[in-house]
Amino acid sequence: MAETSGLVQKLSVGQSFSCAWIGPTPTNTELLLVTSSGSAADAAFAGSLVDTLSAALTNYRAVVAVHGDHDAKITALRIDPV
Amino acid sequence: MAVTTGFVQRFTWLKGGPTACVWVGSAPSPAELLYIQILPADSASTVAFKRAMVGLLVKAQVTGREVDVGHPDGSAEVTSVATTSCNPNQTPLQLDAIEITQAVQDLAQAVPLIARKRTVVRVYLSNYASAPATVRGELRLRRGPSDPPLILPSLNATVLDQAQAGNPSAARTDATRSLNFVLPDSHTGPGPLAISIADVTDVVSGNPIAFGCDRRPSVWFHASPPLRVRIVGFRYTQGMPPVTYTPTNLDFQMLLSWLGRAYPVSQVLSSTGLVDATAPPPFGCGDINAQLAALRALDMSSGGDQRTHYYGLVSDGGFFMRGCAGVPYSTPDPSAVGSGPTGPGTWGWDFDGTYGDWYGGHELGHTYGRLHPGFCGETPDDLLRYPFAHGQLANTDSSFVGFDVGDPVLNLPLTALRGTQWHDVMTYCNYQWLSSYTYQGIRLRLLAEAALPASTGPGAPSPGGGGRPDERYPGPARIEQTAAESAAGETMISVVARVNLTKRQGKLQYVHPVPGASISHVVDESPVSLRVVEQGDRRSPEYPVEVRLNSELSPADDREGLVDAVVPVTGTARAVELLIGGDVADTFEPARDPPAIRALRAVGTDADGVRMAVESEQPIEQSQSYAVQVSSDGGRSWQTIGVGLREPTFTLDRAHFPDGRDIEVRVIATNGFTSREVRHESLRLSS
Repeated sequence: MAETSGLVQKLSVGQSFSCAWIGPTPTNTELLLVTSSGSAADAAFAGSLVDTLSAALTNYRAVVAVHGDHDAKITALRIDPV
Repeated sequence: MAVTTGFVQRFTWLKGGPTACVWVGSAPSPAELLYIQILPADSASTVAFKRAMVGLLVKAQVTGREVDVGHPDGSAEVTSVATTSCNPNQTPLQLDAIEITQAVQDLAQAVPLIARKRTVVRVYLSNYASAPATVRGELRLRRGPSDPPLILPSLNATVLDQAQAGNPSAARTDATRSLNFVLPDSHTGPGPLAISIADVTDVVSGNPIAFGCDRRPSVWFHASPPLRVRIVGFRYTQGMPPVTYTPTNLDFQMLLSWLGRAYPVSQVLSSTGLVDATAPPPFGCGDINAQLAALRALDMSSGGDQRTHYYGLVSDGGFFMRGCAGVPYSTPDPSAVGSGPTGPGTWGWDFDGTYGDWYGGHELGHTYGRLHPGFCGETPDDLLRYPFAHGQLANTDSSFVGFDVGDPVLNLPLTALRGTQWHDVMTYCNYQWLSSYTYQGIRLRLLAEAALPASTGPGAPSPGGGGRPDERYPGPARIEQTAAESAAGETMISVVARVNLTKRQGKLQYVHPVPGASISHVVDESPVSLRVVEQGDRRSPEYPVEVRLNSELSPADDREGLVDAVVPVTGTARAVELLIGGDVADTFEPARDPPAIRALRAVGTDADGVRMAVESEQPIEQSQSYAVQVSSDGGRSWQTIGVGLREPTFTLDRAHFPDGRDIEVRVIATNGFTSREVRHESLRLSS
């Protein structure tokens, strides 16, 4: 698994998937995805993931997003202590 | 049932389950690990409840709020989450809020913090006890969980009175009603900072006082480009007997200080100079901006950092020159110049000795693309719609408050600027400061300008290494005493003209060779163009050029503005034409080649500086003029202190050169298309 860390520089919420640009600066980001398979649990995970990304974005708090080595889909999100 | 109370130190949201893991405690380590898991059997309402708990825990973590997390004895599964109650009956001293401000901020810390910018942490406390208390405090600062904390004492003590308890909005409007902490530079670099209160002490007894409703915000400092600006003072003489007026040193100092305090920058890379206004007084800002644009074009041709903004400062001692600027609204363009008045007037609210600071902040704001939001008599041309009523910094005192972090060098104190009393700098209202709207707008423009190349001339190093305006790149090579032409036989010339689009009139004001400059971007459509006339009346294609309209026009005013362009001419060119709406509005015809300059001599000194005289083979003719440049770094960089000069004398002002350092001076005689120069080696302007 790979980790991408930094501020959430941009967040785009769509009906079928959401996009998060995460990185140290607005011009140095990685585009990661939040998707849901449609199950209730998966939808809850995706919804709370977007809520967490949103809170981190508006409060300028760094996150660590976990995703596959060759996959942009976020499978875990962490906010570490400062 | 057990309750774990503390701050959310770490949060992880895992797809498996899905499961949220939260570490709750008073410090990153040790902290208690708890979890929330969404199960396949959970009903929709249970899923919603668990998601709400997750949401509150995340909000509590990113805002630094303490929580009570309920879970069964012997189990780490979270069953309830609540923010802790603030009970003044139990603990009379309560923490209301912590605000981290650099110029303007709200209690949610919505305005991003600029790394290395002077930063003040304001701590708001309420005392619900009947007896007032005077307290001081200490902050604990950490840049990471394993960093040893830095303990920072407050600058001040504050009196806490029961009658004022529970009203942080009122306290925010008065700098003496918060405990204020100026963060050290070591703790404002790019990245995070965790802030907590180490202690609060009774000033009278010296004893610590327990406080409730603790909060521990974490903030992020964003790397940001500097403000690059050259401030040019314009000197003029009028009256009988003649009196000469120049901006004071205080005018320059206060403007640069104000920009550093109010603008979203940590650094103002600045230089200053003083030049003689070529237009006779009472001139207008259009005259000054034309001269400033010509000065800037020469500086850029000499290797100046292309991202440097130029602003002209004019003393109101002789007359009041209303300010104006060019407005590159849609795309970043640091070549837009502005100018404005300065003097000791208070305007009824500004008592720091000069108003040129905020006035300059307004005009320079235009050069960063800012428009008038349309308050207090100005034309509303900000189409994005200003977000606050009456041009204020905020609609209520509970949202944005301005804060002047002060300047110890100029003895300026920390000052809170009430959001409902102070107005955005781009309005015409009194009490001017930057709103969050303008602050963010200028920050974004600075980021866009930082991506522009520092230099475009041949021989210039690659972009990104431009550095300070006073440490500029070496200019393109010049061959002294020869015509300045490019290898291709073309000479780049800077053309500065004033135009009135309403009357279809225009005047070519400054034409000067600028070897090494790039041809101006040709605009798709413009009512104004330039055309070169060759020998035999053969005319080049037209160069449509951008017109930067005067920023302060009202709907009833003529559409007046500035053209500032670089076009190529060949050795056979005999004129440049200015066309407005297809008609020739003005023509510049160069005179003969400029005279050779024999020498440049210091002919006298006075309290202000050194009087210099140019000796040339013959006096200059009509359409010939001098420009003067100085270098204080051995010729590595040059700054223009005179352009369009018709007299062979000028004054080097002592105040604008580093004391005791040798400077070099060069004079360029030009007919507009060709030039000759002479350099004077090593002159010292010690005071």
